[in-house]
Amino acid sequence: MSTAGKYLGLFLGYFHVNAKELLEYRVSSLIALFGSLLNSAIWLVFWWVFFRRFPNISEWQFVHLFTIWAVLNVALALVSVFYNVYKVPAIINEGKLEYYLVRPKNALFHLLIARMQLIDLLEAAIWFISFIILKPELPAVILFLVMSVISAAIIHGFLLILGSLGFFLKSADGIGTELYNALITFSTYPNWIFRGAAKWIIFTVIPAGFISYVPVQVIYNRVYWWILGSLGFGIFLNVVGCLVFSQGLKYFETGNTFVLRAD
Amino acid sequence: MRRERQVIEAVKDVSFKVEPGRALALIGPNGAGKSTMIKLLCGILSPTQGSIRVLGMDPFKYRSKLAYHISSVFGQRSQLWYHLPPIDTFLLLGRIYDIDRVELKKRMKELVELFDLSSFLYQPVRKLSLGQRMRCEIAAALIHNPKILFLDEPTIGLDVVARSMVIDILRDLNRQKKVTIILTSHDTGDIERLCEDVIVLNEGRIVLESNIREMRKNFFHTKIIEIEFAGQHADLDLPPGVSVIERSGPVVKLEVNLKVQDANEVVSRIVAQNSVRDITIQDPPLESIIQHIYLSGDPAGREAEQNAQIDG
Repeated sequence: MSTAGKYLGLFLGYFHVNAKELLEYRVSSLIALFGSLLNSAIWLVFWWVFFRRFPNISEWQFVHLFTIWAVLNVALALVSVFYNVYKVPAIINEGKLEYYLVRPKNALFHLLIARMQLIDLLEAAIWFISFIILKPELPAVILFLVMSVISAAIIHGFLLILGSLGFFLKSADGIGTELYNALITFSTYPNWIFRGAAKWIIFTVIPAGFISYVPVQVIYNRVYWWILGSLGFGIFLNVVGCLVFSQGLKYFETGNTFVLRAD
Repeated sequence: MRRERQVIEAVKDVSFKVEPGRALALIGPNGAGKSTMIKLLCGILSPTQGSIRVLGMDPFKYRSKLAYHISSVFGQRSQLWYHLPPIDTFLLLGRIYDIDRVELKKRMKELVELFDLSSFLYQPVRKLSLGQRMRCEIAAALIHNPKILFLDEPTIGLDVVARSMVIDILRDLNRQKKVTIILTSHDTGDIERLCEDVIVLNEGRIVLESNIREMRKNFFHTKIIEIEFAGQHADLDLPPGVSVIERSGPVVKLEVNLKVQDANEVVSRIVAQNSVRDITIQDPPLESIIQHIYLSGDPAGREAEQNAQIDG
C-alpha cells in the first residue's frame, strides 16, 4: 500500500473509533448540538430584527449575515475533524505528544486526527441545508462549499500556528484562546464596521476577513479571484503552522509523565 | 532581582549495553533519570552529548523507523480507548503499524489466547478490572511484534494474582519469544522474577550495573536466621555481630553480620546449645540491598568490590 493509502487508512481508523465513541455519548452530544443551534438562532433573531429596522446598510442584508454565520459554522465543523488542533499547547506541555512521537506515523498528522468531534458534522449539515433553502442555486451552493472548506483551512492553519507556539511559550494556551476568540468574534460581524487599520488586521493578524467578507464577495458578487487569494492564504497558514511545529519539536522538553493514550 | 539559569543534567556519564533477549531492570529513586533514559532510548529526546544505538539505529534520527520494532507499556497511563472495547484499540493499532488484515487477525488471535482476553474483548475498557486492563495494555503493546518492550511500573496498583499473571506472561515473552525487556519498577519482587540484569541509577548516573544474582551476592552484609526452638530456651548466648530482630514464642529471628561472623558457625553454636525443631537461613530482601545502594550512592561499587573480596 502506498504511503498516502496508509495515511488514509489511519484517518479512516480514527474516524471509525471516534464515531463509535460518539455513539456512546449520543445523548450528551445531541444536547450540546441543540444548545449550539439555539445559540445560533438567538444570534440570527437579533440580526433579523436589526435588518427589519435597517434593511440595507452598506449593501449588507440579512441574507449576507446568515451566509457568513453558515460558512463559519460549516468551517468550524470541518476543523472539528482535526479537533486536537485546539489542544496542541496542552498536548505539548502535558507531555502527551510522546504518544505520537513513539508511533511510526507523522506525529503532527497523527495527533491532529486522533480526536474528532463528529457531532459538529451534523450541525454543519443543518447549516448547509439551511443555506440551500436560503439560496437554492447550484453555483451558489458549490461556492458556499468551496468557501467553507477554505475558511476551515484558514482557521486550522491559524490554530496550528498558535498551538505550535506552545513549544516556545510555556503558556501559549491563554494567548491562543484570546486570539482564537478574536478571530471568531470578528468573523461574525458584518465587515462594514471595520475600516482603516481594523480592516488590515482582519486580513492579516486575525484573518477574520477571509472567513466573513470574502465568502460573501465570492458567493453574492462572484469575485472569483478571492477564491485563489483565500486558498493561498489558507495554504500559507498551514505551511507556516507545520514549520513552527517541526521547529518546535527540536525544543521539546517533554513532561514528567510518559503518556500513551491520545487526547 | 536577577533570574539565574541553572543547567541540570538529567542523565550523565551513562554507558551500557543490553544484549538481545535479555531483561534489564532500571531502578533508582524518583528523579534518578529512569524515565529520561527510556525517552532517550525511544527517540523522544536527543542526547546533548554522546550517542545511542537501539537495534543499530540512532533512535532520535530514525524514530519512526524504530517505532515499528519497539513498544512501551506504562502502568499509570493507558493507550486503550476508555469507552470502547479493547478490540477497537487493537484494530486501530493495526492501522498505526501498517499490519495487513490477515496478519492482524492472526496476531490478535495469538494475543487473545496468550493473555486470556476472550471473555472481555468486546466489553468497554471502563468496565474492566485493573488486572484485565493491564493484560489488554500489554497485548496492545505487542500487536506489532516488537523486539524491545519498555515497561514503566507495569504492575502498579495490581492485586497479587493479577500482578503474578502479568509478570509470568512477561517472563514467558522474554524467555521464550526472546523479546528484550527494559523495565523500570519500584517493586523488587517484579524485578527479581522478571529481570536478569539491573542498572541502579541515582542523580542521573549509573551507580551500579550488575547481574541481579551477582548483586545479591556482592551486597550481602547480613543473613537472617530463623530458629524454632523445641522447648523453653535459655537466654541465647550470641556472639558478636549477631542480634535478635524478632521474637515470637519459640521462634526467634536473628540477623548475622557476615563481615563479623560466619552464619554457619552461629547455627552450629545455637544447635549445640539448644534443642531446635526447625531452622532456616534467609537472604535479606532485595529491597534492603537496593535501599542501601541508593543511600550509599557512588561508593556502592567500591563497597561491592570489598564485599566480593570478603566473600571470596
